[in-house]
Amino acid sequence: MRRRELLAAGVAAPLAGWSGAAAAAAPLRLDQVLGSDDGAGFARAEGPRPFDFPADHGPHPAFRSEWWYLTASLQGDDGAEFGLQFTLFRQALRPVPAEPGPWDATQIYLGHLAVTDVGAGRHRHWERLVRGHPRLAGVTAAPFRAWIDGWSLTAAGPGLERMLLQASGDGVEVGVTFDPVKPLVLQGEDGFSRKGPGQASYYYTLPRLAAGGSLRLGSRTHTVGGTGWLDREWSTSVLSDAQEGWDWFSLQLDDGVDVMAFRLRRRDGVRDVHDHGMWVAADGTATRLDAADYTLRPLRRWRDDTGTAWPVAWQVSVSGPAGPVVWRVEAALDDQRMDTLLTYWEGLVRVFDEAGARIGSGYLELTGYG
Amino acid sequence: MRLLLRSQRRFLQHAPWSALTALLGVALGVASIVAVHLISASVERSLAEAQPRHLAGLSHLVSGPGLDAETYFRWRAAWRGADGGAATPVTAMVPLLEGRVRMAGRFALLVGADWLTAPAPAPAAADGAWSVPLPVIAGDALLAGAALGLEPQRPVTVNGRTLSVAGSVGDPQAEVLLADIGLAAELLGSTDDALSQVGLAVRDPWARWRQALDRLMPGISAGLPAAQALPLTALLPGVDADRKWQAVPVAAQRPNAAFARSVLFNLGALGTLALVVAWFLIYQVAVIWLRRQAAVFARLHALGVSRGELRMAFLGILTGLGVLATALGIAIGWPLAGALVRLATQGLPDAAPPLVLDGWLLLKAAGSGLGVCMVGAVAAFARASAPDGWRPTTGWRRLWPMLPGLLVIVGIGVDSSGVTGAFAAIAGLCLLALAAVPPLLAGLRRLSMRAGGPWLLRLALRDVVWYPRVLGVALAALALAVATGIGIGLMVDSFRLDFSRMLTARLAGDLYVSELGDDFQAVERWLGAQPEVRSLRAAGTERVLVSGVAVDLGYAHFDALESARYGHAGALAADQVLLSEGLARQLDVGRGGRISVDGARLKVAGTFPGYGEAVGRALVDAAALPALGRTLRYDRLTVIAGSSAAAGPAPLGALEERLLAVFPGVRVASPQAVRAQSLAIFDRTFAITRALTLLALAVAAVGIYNALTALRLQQAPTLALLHAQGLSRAEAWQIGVLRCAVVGGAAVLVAWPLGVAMAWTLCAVVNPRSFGWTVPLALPAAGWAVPLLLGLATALLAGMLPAPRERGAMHEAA
Repeated sequence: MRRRELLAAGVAAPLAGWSGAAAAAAPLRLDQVLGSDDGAGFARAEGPRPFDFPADHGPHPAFRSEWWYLTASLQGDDGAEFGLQFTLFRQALRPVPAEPGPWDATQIYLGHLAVTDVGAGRHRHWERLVRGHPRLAGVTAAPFRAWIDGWSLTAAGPGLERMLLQASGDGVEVGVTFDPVKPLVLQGEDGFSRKGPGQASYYYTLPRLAAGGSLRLGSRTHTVGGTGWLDREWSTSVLSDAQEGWDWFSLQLDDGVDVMAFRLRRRDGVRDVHDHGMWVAADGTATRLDAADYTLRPLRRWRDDTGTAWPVAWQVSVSGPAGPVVWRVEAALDDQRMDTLLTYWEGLVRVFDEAGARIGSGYLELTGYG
Repeated sequence: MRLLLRSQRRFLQHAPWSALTALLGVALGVASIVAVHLISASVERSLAEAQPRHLAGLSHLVSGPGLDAETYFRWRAAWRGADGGAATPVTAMVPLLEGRVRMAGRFALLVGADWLTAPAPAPAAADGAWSVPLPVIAGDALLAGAALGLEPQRPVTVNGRTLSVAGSVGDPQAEVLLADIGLAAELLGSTDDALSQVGLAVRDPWARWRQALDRLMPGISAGLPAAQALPLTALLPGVDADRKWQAVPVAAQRPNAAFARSVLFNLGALGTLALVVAWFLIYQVAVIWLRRQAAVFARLHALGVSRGELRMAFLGILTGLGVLATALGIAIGWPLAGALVRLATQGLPDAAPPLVLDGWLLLKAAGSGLGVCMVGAVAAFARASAPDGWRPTTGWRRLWPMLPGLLVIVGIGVDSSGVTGAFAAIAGLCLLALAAVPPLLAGLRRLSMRAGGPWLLRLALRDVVWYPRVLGVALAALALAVATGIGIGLMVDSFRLDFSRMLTARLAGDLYVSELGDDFQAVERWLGAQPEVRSLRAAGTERVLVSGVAVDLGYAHFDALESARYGHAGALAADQVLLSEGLARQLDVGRGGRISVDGARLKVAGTFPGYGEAVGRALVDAAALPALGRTLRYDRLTVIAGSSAAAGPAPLGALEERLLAVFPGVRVASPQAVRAQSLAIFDRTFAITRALTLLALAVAAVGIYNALTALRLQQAPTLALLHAQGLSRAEAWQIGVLRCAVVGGAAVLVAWPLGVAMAWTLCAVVNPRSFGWTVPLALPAAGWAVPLLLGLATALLAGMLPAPRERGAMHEAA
């Protein structure tokens, strides 16, 4: 799954109080904005479906929420360590009109770009919020292109081959290519990812992308290389009242194994039976993980300036295909909070084995805190 | 130290009246600071919320022929391509489309915007007042100006399409509908992707200064330089260089924004004055308190207590006093502000914004109450060791009066110094007047030694002039407060007189019928058939752009009678135009100049006052409209009645009733009602100003009371001697009253010329620079006499209030 479904589903709610309101208003919490499920008129994820590529790389406007979620752990040619996040959310404000005009505001796009400079101890992020419009924001499936207000992710090859991310913010310019190393993985039950009794999404992943390119920070341009991860998900569902948020992990180990796992945090503190994950071996073989196959336990929390405590160090215990393993997952920087329309924590993490040796990197997402 | 503490405690026990008046003095000073800050902040919020919603956060607008969606997207791509936009001063870019629509049988202005690209709301409106409902963003609903009277959640038909109203927008005078740009394009039938304007938010280099200044005094930052017109290439280098697009400041497009800015600055300036007067007062409390303890300190010093220890003890007791008085002042200031705001907003349909007691205000109050007490204690102690009397200026002290003189010359003489320069000139005038106080007292001192007359008067005069240090500060504060009262009073009276004259000229009809929309012709026919009606005058308005500035182009049959309403002699030719004074100033064009409207060149035949107009106005004869390529769409009528019908206490009342019975949707107003309503709005606008002036006078009154009390204590030995020589109680009372009269007289002597100079500066310099209109200065007696009498009465009342009868203090003083 991806919690981003919930994140994107929540985009509409802050829009109701709109426009840069995040700059002035108190941070929004997902569980506050996802309180209702008014998906009337939209299609719903109600069971497994056949996927059709490359068409499914493009938008599904019949569903309310959708996202293209790219993260990467990068290393500079001088050994510097960076994290990179690019997210494009699509949110339909109402079911598609019969004859949309040129300024039609049915589809809203929200873009997030974040760069973590571990050496400098700095996490920076930017946000774009515009209507769907050929000159502003949108996604096409073939050739694949996702763009928003000056940022773009464009595939040069068929499907999602040789994607180029071009984006810039204040003093930062990203030009990084991503090429799939492993085949695409359907999450959940053949791409049908259930999150609750009435909540589900369609969800697939490219778990390992070879990344390379340039990253300009201020006046200095780094040549970077590393590993990326792309998530695709769409749905109309939102969090149930029993859930307050989620903790989501995408871990990429040096031995070629990639793991996705999440836990939905219930208000009653009980482990949610809908938690699931995926173990992808080095050869691309994917094995589904059920809630009973793994545990995620917070070890340390970082308190931000609002007093919110974010769990930034975890113990991840997995009974995987190769047997049980226990890892320590630690944020590369404590402060990787996304202070955007929706406040969440998304950042680069390091993975250590029981002996304390670093064995990989990844991304962690925390929502519903504060 | 214990001895010192005991002595201080004993002094407080023996001199409770002194302690109480000192406490009240500081508390009132703090209260005035708190009240003025809260009032200014409240007004600032009201003005911010009254801004057109679609312009919130925008600083510039770009418009012109050929502006379309393609142009906008090209600019946007260039902006975002420059380091994500950070390499340019632009922080937001919003496409806008506007036009007139038919709504419920009348016309309204429809503004469409891409709300998602609009900038973040202003901090002043951070309570969510700017939120745009989701159905509006989605293009399913509208926001309606309060003046349209549409009920939220009720359907309304706009250009034939039924939509819902999601809510109302702040400006109660705005007859505007706000929509998503997609919906606006659909309603306006815009098929060519044309845009009316592109709004830009340009980074303000003064932002930090504004914030810092506004924390000190809300609204005062409006005096900093305003946004200037810029070529687009200065904001987006290399973009459309051949088109020479101009980004015009939003304030230039909306005269009411400039008006709001100036009102804020005026309030800020007044608030700062109250702050300074309060600081004077608090400092004076320290001086007088020390004077009352002088005898005690002298004896303690004789007993071996060092001056340093005495200073520490004095600082300690003043600090304690400051803490108590600050708390008391905050407690008084909050309800005081609430009462004054209620006074100024009574009768208004919308409640005033809530008063917010934030941390910064508490810090400011504490800094003023406690900080000035402490600094004042140290300064007063140092001053007490200096010899009394006024010293002639020497060295650099001779030069300092040149600074205020320079401020006056530059502030008034250099037009580009703007509103800040004008207020700097007023500050310079105040400093010059205050600088005149010591020499004035010295002159009176010399006069008192030579003057004849009743000995009681001479005694009272000498009481005052012999101790300039006791009275100097209070006298200056009173003079300043009275002068401000005169200045503001004369300006408001002059303005009101001119406004009233304008209303008399403008309201030449006998009945005004508006909001006619589709019913125009039917109403015109019906009215034309009524026996009371001698003639009808039709008028309409179109929104046009002149040099990038939004202008309401009014049209009617401009014969000599119609032209006379706007101060122009003779009929208006088809190629002539009359401009509101503010618009003419904005376009930098005067009589004889030319402007371009829809490609046609029109000659400016004259200007007319346009007080408080939301958009600059231009007036042309109806015959000019076809030449501009526009269709006449009259929407209001002026009824000229026959001479018999217009007479009587309720002229045309019956006609009005019959008209409304036939056409219930139209709006009818009599000139009397329009006049009364306009003057009521005027008076309410300036109610806060008058209230702040009175507050400054009240603070000064406490200062004078404290100063006179100190003087009385100082004069106690002399009075005791005179009593021994046979001075009666009545004669002693006469001396007291005469003494107060001398103080009041000295204050008004300084205040009158200063007040008149202030009034002239406000009318002739501040008003043209901030509002774009000039106000001829009038000197009605009430305007200057009332503040003068109030000043005199203040001094007399302060002198007549009971003096402290504190055995300790009196004994020590004796």
